[in-house]
Amino acid sequence: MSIPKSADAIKNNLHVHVLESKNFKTITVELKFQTLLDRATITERTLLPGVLRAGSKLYPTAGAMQNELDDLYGASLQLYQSVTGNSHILTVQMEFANERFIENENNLAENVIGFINEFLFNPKTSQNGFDKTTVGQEKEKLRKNLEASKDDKTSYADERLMDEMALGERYAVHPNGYLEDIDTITEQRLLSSYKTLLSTARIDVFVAGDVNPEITKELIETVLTGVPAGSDLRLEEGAALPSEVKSVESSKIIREIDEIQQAKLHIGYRTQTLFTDTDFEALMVGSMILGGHASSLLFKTVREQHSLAYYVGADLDLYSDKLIIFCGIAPKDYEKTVEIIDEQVAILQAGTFPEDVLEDTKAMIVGSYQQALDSIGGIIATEYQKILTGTSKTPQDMIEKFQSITRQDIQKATSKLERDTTFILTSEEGY
Amino acid sequence: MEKLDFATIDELVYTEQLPNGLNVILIPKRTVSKTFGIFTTDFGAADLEFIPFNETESVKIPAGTAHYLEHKLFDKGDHDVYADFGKLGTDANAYTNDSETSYYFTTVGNEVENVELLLNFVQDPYLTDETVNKEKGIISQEFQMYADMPDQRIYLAVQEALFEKHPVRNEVLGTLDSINNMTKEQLLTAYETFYHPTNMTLAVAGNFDSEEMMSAIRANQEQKQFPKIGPFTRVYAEERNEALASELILRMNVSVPRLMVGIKDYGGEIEAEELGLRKLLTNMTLDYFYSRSGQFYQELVGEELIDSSFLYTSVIDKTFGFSMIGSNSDHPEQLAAKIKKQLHSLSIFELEDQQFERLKKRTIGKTLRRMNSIENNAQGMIWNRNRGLSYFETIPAIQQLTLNDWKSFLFSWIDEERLTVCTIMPE
Repeated sequence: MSIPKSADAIKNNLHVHVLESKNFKTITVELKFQTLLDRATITERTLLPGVLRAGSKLYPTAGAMQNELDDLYGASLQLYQSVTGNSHILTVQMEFANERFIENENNLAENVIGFINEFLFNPKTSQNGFDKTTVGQEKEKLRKNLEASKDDKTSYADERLMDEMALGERYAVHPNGYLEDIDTITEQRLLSSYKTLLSTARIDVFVAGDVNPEITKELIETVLTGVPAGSDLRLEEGAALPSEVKSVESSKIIREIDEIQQAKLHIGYRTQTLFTDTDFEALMVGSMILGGHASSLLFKTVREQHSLAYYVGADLDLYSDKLIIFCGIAPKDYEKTVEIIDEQVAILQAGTFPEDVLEDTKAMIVGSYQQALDSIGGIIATEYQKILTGTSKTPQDMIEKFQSITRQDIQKATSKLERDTTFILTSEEGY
Repeated sequence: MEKLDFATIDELVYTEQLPNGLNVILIPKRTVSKTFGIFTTDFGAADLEFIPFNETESVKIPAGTAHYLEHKLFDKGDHDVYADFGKLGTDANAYTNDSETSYYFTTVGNEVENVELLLNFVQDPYLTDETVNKEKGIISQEFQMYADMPDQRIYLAVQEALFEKHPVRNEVLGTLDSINNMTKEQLLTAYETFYHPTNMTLAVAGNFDSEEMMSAIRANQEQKQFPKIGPFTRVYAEERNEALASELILRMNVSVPRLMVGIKDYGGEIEAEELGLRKLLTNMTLDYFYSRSGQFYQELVGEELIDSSFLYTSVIDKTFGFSMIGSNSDHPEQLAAKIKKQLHSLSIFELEDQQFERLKKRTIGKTLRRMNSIENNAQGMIWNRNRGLSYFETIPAIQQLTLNDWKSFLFSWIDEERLTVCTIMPE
């Protein structure tokens, strides 16, 4: 791999964010590689965390990697990929002890960043490919995971709902890849795919904890030297959101039969609203009123009043134009449950929900935004959300907005909700 | 109010036992915005028989009682407690495991009001035949949800195969029968003994003033009347040392078989010091030999015996301990044989100081990460204090471990008679 090492290249390609907080006993370094979600590359991307974790040139085995992590005073290394809206994100996260709490340790931060630079930009390769054995093993693991994933009925129902509802959208790409793609991936192709990722992804680096911002920025620039040169393809802020919202032409119902005790009912709605729209906060509150907590409309009726379900809720995707209602019910209760859900959605849209539910929900959502900055994960996620959505909304801005929301605001925002697809996974009995 | 200063870890803790017996733990942290409150009774799914204070006959309650009671305490007939917390802008919840039932909230602001509400709703049960019956459909759906989850089923299978009489072998929810036959009287019987303040701990962590909080808690408890009772006795049938079954095979609608090897660590009461040591060493041992970076995991991957569902876990407590290691696998028999062989090799495993020092560092790093969370700290304080252990001294306890401690643990950890192999096969 040819890697330019000038400080300028680094400054051009790395967006460095130092987030100072004295509340933690550890320091977290997180690198995020963001690209557009793509059916053609998703399966390869799924393999990368495991392959990178298995060893690098300097630490050729997983055991050698772990020894180094242990020597870094039990630093943790997490490598994972995820999907947010239209983007795919490879995350490298290391968390390590603040030297204040352990004896005779110094330079931990520098050594941790050095370790990241080593294993990320100097992976174990031979003959223009990743290590053959490792790639073979990761392919086999992925194959088994995808085969077994059908046994988790809730996530299966989620996936099937999106297959149908988001057909033709980037959003429908399965975040964990496709069985039929696995055999086509060679160790050469995977390495070239990784190189493409490094040179085309938007790279954000976060350092959070009790750190000095100036020293930390300098450390990143002098130690994280392996980042390849820039490319015009790198994503701008806001790339996670779709460019347009969709309306529903005709709503559909998909039924599937399985041998199960509990039926999974998942209903997808189009919101016609994006995070950047001025009424998004009203939609968020509306979604919470519908099914976001234990005093919500759905919880109070489907569970508490009619004892039909143990869990029932509504989930608004912040990075899309979709809202999902989900619950687990006895197969025979399908019709009755759908009827109650329809009634509650209608109450939400008509704005005839009780006043105390509105006030309680606003207070709850404000509380959850206030708490976000109490964890390292929350601090980083809040900062990254601005980049993913291309807005400068701070938690404080959103809190003020939530507080001012009225019943009419919610009525207006939720009146745009349209039922798109209903997916029910049920037993013979419920058919 | 007793002040405990854990300066090396930057934590200050206040404790007090109130006149009615309630234990209070405060962990103030003025630099965070939120506050977490948790009210725990030392009563879980595995407490099914006890002799009440001043009585001679033991009382038995049905499996699933603790969990059912947890659900019902939120129901006040004309309203539910979620709504009361909702008015304060707070989301509250609860959980039941084998040894405890806990009620908790997280809030920003109104800290004292939230704590008072937490105390009040747990200490004021509203149980009628009607409210108890209403819950049957909900808990039955919760039961069916778990029944469809192979990972839940195999976890429970291991507990059933390891333990013969200890109630830890039961599902936390009980059975569909015990759920559908639950009565108000049974719930009240359990409540009277296990929800007495002497059996409960309140912990609050986060952004509040300790003096003000403690005064409010004292005042709240002084208003309430509780019968004066002394200690009750928990009854456990004598549990065999060996596993009940060396093998258990279930059939279920799965695409890939599941395999889990279970280890029965013990099934009778152990002392605090031994509990602390066993908990640390069991977890460190599992981490060392079975983590993804370990040699054994790499071998299993190399032979295509496991996938990324591979996991290991252990529950080490006062009266029972068990561990398990397993994965989804196309070759469950081969995998079981391989794990058992590896476990048996541990008693004569060659260990060096350097390996153990590294493992200690790894464990200390992990402990520090866990202690970033005020929720973990409140729960950890309760769990450890109820068992005579000191949570914020976990790091010194790790530092003091010696290679010999580890060697002697490994020497006697595994015994063929205490192992079980559980499998879920496709129908």
